[in-house]
Amino acid sequence: MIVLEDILAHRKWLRRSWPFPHVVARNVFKAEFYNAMARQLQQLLEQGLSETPVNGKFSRNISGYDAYGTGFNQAIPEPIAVFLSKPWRDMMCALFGITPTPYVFAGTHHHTVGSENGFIHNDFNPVWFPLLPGDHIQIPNNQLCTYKTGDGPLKPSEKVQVVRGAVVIFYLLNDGWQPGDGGETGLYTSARSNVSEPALRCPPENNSLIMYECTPYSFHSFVTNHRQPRTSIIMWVHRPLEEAIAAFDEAKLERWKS
Amino acid sequence: MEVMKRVCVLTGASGLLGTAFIERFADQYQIVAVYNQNPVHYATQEQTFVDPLLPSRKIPENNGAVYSIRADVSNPREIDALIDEVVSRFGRIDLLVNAAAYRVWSHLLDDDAINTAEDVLKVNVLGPLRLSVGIANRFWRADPEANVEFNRNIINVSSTAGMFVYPDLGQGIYAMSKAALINLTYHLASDFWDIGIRVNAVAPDTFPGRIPTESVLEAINGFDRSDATGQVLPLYNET
Repeated sequence: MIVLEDILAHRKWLRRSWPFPHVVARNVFKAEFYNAMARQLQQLLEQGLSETPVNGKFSRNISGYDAYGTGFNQAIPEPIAVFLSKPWRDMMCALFGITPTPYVFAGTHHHTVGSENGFIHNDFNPVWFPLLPGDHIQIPNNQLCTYKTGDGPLKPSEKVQVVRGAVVIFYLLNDGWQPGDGGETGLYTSARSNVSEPALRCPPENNSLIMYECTPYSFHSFVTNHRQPRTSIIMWVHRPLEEAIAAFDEAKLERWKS
Repeated sequence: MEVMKRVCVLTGASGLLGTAFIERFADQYQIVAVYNQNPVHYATQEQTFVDPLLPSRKIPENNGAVYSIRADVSNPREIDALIDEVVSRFGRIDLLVNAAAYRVWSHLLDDDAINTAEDVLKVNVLGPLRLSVGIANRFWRADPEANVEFNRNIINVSSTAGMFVYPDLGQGIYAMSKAALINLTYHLASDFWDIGIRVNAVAPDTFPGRIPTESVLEAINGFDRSDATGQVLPLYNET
């Protein structure tokens, strides 16, 4: 059982409002917990990078995004398992006033040196999960119900469409990062901004994070890394579709392009 | 009656030293935290601390928030705007800590080394010069007696790299800038004597690797509390 009080290094995170509401924190986990998490992810990284999608291995699996990624499933042990835990989900939902649902996605991204800028987007996306009664954490299952489209063998009554509610990007294995190295998460005022000129840069310092509600205005992108690789864990909580529509209007939903 | 805190303009406020300075002295000074690319990591007029496990909890440090301003100290126009904003908002500047630094490590014969020199000097030398002279012209020159009364002063953050040669570390351009900052400190102290502004510098070795960051903070605070001027304090371990 994960108890966040026992693993967080402190309880003074920063809530910012510009260019859109977000929360940042340095020195997130106690050193022992962070070091164990870094070792755990390093072992995954040492399995190598695949140019084609391979389950459980850093792979080029995100179209149009110059990164290697992999998703976590519930077999992932602690400490990374904290990102698939109810206490972590509940914390994120409470920070942004989001109704918790069982539906969570967690994974990791690795950008080799010189990875290209990402594209500015907002993550305000509708996605699909197998419907799960009760309040156990449920991760996507593309065999039953494709995350982006809902396609698969499940009947309509057996799956649910939800919307990305909030995201956390937790940075690790970026030893020695310095300003000027790139690899930040850029935050923008508009989707039409120059990706190389974010309104604000969130540095990928070890054991730090950025977290924000996914809204039509949460414009962000990976910024190219000049000097060293960048590694992060990324995790979304999801909110009910009705809540997202009531808060921001259905027309604002960023539906996946086929 | 509420006592007005001394107003401290701190550049490099989102860096390692700036962050430590704010955490240590936010209750002592009204800090104007000047940052460029990365916002400061403390409660400001634009951001507040939040307890991730109890978001509604009141956090005392939110009441001692620093005032943050984004400005590029290598840009004269942004320095002018910065000074205008501070003077119009607070009406006084009692301490200027020039802690912003641009670090580039490269052998002087590397292809691009010499091309970085101008940017390094703009931030590490011309920035402190323009800021010091700008504040003097805009505010300090008008009342030298008040400057003495409120013990107003400037503290430049140099480096032992500006005093000693550490071979083969690619510090040539950075060291040049920090040596210039030391000499600038002496001349500022001389030229600002008549307007009652003291000017000193700390020259620390690498922190927190070779000396504690706390030692640098103590040295800065010590200069602010003293009556010294024209002094450069090296901070390094003899061993």
